[in-house]
Amino acid sequence: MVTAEEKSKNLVMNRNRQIRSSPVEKMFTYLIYGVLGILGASCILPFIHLIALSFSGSDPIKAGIVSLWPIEFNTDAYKYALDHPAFMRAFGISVVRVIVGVSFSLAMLVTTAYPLSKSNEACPLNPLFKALMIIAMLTGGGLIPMYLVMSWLGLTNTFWALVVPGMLSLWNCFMVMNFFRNVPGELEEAAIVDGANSFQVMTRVYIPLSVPVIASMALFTGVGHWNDWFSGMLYMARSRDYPLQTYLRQVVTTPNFSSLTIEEMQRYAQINSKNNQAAQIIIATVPIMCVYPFLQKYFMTGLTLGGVKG
Amino acid sequence: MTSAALRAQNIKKHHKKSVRTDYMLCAMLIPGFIYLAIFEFAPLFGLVIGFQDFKLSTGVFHSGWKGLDNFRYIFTMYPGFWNIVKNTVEIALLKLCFGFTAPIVVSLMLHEVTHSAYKRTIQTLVYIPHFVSWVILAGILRSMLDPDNGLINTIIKLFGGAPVYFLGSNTTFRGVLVVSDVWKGFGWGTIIYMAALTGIDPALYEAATIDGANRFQRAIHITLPGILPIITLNLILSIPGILNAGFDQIFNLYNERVYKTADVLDTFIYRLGILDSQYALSTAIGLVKSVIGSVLLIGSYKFAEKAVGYKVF
Repeated sequence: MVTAEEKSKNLVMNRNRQIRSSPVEKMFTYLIYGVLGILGASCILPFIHLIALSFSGSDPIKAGIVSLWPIEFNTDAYKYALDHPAFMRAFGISVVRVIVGVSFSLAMLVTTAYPLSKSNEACPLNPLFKALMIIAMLTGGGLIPMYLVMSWLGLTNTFWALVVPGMLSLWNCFMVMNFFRNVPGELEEAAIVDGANSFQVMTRVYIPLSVPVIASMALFTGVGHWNDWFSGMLYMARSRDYPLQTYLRQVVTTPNFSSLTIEEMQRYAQINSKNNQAAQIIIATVPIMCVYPFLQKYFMTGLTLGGVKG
Repeated sequence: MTSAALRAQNIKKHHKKSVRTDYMLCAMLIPGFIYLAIFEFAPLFGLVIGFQDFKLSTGVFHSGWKGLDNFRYIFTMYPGFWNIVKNTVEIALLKLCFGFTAPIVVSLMLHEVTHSAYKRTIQTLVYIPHFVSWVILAGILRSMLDPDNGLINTIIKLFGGAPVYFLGSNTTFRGVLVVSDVWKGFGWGTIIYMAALTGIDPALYEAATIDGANRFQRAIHITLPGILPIITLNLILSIPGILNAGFDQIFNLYNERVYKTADVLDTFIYRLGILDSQYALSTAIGLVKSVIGSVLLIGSYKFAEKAVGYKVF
């Protein structure tokens, strides 16, 4: 039992502690700061190592002595990547894919989530749609049936194979629906009184009010498209249709010598392949790092929307 | 007509409308229905080829039926199938053990950091790996773990050790899988706990301090119980992942040398179906996996609802 006297003593001690903590607590603090520092560094150092590799000469790379700073600095690997038509082509496909994929997904997401956020009287299809959504979320056809559906639709080996599957994220749809429900109903009534139909209410009232949510969905969908390598590998037979990540997978796992001309092969031999790979990986990571500050700003929104609160 | 009259008319219309069906809303759901039908339910129907003697030339509608033969063949005769199941569960469990506890420990540590700029910097750094694809991380890992000139092996040699072929040996490959998976996910995993930690009443800490609790005791008796509901929820919701050992990661890192310890259901389904064109067999395994996954998913949601009152829908 802690007596009142002891409590006041602890209070005084605590006040003192704020100025000077005990040696044990101090060591504990240093330990935590140190461990966290190491963990934080571990998340960025591999990328710095890779940047160092991409700017290094082939001899130090072969000797394995490049760590965090380039040795025999040169930019040949970047010149190679930017001159390499296959790389630039894959990069272009990924950029277009992100733009088209995000636009389609958002259009689909908003037009689906909006009616779902309304009452069942206003939109009698809602219960059916929600039931189908839940079934779809809890089950899955799997790889082969999905592949067969895509080839039956004639979408394999076309750009649309990268965009259309997964166009509507059901999970995001639930989140946006919940967000729409929290928009005050008076705003909608005011718009209706001013003569707006439901589509106009959506575009003029709901969408402007949900910009932060929609922006965060756009960012995450975009990153998802940029990082996806599997659909390219699954649906594309020719490597010239590959998006960047699928192309990179090919480069990183096996340098494909057969696709190179003799002239290219000589250049390839000049530039250490590791150096080359590093440069291409860095170029593919730069766009993610560019949107990273925005991502960081928005992912908290996504979490609180999901209903997980402290 | 005056605008006031127009408004009055609109109000009247609206009051009528509030009980009437809004066909425009219904029309907006049509693309969603089409999407669900084609990309969610058609593949679900396509699972029937697991029961067929499926050939691409005859298609889903004209292939002969085989009953449960495909399943029987996979489960009783296919060499190495049960080893793949074992690999899947073992790798998933290993990842769960470490990948689940790491974010909790890191969150507790981050919570103790009072220097806000330091805390923000660490948080910014640890989220990065989550946003990088496994293709890129595999490229980095391959480069760093290279037995000839990789950074890790250079360090090992510096200390007089023999170089290790991490990605080509059955003894080290799983270690690489678990460590890299935990490394990719631990930062992202802290977000949910950090959000929960902000909700803890600071008065509790003050009261505990007055009662003589030191920092460690405060962390154990206040911070940890504060996030316990979220920990429980996370644990329950991670149960369905038991058959997902991480396709993206393993597929980009493995090679034939480590099939014995690293081949999992998803990589097997891919190779069997896409590379060997064994559509029916591959779908049959996918179907079983999918059914078990659905049952676990529904079970875990129900359990989460009972245990911590979490409602998904």
